[in-house]
Amino acid sequence: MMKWRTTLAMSFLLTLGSGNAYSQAGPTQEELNAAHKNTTDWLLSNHDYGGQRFVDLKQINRQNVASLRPVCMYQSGDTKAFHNNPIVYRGVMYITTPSSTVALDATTCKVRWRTDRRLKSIEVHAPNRGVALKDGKLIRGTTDGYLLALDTATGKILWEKQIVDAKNNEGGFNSAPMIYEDLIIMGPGVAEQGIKGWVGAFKLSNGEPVWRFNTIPDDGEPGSETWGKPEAKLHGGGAVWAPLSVDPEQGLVYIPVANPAPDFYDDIRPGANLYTSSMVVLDVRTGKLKWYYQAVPHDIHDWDLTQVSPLFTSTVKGKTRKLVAAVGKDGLLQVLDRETRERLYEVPVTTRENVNLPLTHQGVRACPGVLGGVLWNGPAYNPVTNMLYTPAVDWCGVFKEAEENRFILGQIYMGGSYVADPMEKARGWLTAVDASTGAVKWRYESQKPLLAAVTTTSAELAFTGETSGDFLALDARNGKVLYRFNTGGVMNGGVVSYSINGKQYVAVTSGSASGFWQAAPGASTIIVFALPNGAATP
Amino acid sequence: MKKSCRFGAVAVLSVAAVCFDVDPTWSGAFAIDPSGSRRLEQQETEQTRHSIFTGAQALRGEAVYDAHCASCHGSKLEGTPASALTGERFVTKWGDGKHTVDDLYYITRTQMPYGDAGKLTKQQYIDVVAFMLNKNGYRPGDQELPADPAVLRKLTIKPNDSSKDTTTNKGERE
Repeated sequence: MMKWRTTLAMSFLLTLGSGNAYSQAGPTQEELNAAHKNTTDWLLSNHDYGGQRFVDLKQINRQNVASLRPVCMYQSGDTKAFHNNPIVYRGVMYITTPSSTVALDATTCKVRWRTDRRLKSIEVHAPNRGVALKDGKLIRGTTDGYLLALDTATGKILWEKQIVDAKNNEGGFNSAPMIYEDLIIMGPGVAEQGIKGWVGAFKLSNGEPVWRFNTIPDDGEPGSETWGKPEAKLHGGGAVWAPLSVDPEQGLVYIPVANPAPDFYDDIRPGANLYTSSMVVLDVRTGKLKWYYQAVPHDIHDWDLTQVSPLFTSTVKGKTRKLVAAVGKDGLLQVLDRETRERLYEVPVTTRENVNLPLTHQGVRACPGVLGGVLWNGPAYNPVTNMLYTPAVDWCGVFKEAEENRFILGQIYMGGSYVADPMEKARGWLTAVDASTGAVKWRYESQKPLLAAVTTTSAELAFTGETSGDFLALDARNGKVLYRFNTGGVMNGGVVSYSINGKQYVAVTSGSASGFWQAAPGASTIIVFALPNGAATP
Repeated sequence: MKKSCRFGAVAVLSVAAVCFDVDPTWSGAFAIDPSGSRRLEQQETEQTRHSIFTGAQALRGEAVYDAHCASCHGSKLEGTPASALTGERFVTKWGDGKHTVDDLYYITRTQMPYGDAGKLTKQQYIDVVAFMLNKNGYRPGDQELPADPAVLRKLTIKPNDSSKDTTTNKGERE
């Protein structure tokens, strides 16, 4: 692999495939709008625009789920962090690693095409969390700051556009893009490098910029007054590295904005530091700010807001309300009314201790730690059980503010240091909450952090995975583990379910976590599960 | 290792893949002549180009690295699963003429080992810095690199025309 990489020059591109191009013109906007009802595809990173991660499939149920079997596997040959949520459309699954984009048969794992790309700039942070599909185009970001459009039928790169200069401290792309109408919506990651964050829209046809919203405001923009000296904003963080959600009825996009930088040395940034650690709601067509909710004002713990989904409807105090769940590395699930913007309830989904104590040079222990709370995969909502299922990491540590703060171009910009509790103390919590009241209905506690996605079905099942490598199926009503399968690598990416030709499948990602998680590297692997023939019950 | 650096108004003290500018006002342990850069350039010799740390110091740093860093950055600094500390990535990030040895020392001592930053002594941290420089093509001499930010701040890591070939330090043991 390395040899041919080094021998090919310029725009390195290798497309492997069967040579049999097939028609994949969609999905259309209508299909994307109806993704929440779709049971044969998995059309967006979090299944649907609202990110409910609920599929109305019952073939795999509580009685037969223990009979699940792997039906096929695909290994990419990559051992970097494997975070992506696969997309499935018309029988084809699209996955990514940092350097590869692959189309597989979603029932046999056979490769339709594979496109590899060599970095053209520096890779700031390795994970890639997936793609977006529309109108025959597959859109993905790259860790060196490019947006790519690939032909979904062939894997051919249709256009490639550098959006940020990774060598100039502008970050890189880690999250899956969002597509709405003819716009790709995306922002750069890695607040810890002291980027000045933003989220923007780009034309699906060619990647040309359309609008940009500064998550760290420019001078004179609303919110800029919350930073003390203007210089603090130059490296203020506010990355966008987690999933976006869209309310197509209202034409709004929900953005989770990461923490401020420097993370721990907050003396230089007095104030709330908008729009860090916030849910930002924009007009999806113009990028104009509609409203925001700052989950952690003036954060000092690297508590990014990571999740602004699901968008869902439930009855609260006798009234049907349109809701949004917001949660992040602070480990506090908050549910808000999307219309009145009122916060209705909050539920800790990890241990929370010393959350309001200021940091010192000697160190203050607090929970969650830097690697705690809810990371890149968030809550799922099941309308049958009316519960939210939130995976989280319960792991604390000691935060120290530096005596001297220094910004160094291209380097980590923490303004202090962090000492995690021993890895043996890190746990995973999967918390099920009554979506109407916030009451905790059950909690599954894993011996290892929970980073994988959760998918829930109308059979009242919840599928997820552990960093131990185990794939789990739980009874969504009470948290009982009904099925467990060791995938052989760390599960910290997507878990999706779909039905093809009348058969329900569950596809999971297994491989490596990033170096933060102290787990041995594993090969990036897709494993597709189904019931053996005859095991399905009506 | 027949490599050369561009020599500017400030003397460049390395012919290896990573080079260093020395602030002419610096008069610390490594200063050859505090009177100015011209004098420094005139006196430049093969020995002085490579004298900001010693081989023994780099070896000490290697032992520290093996014990506390290699599990994330790789036994050859190749960067699996954490960042590579040698080769093109290291040179791109550090050898761009905008960073001092003190910047490298600062990041190392304030952030590493990841999850347990600050656990090593200052001497251990500066020894690891010496080891990293050594593995990136900078040769040892007869002066130790001091754990003194005021001194290190005056050493700028410089780019080099041949900087793309820095994955190994030829002549060193593997």
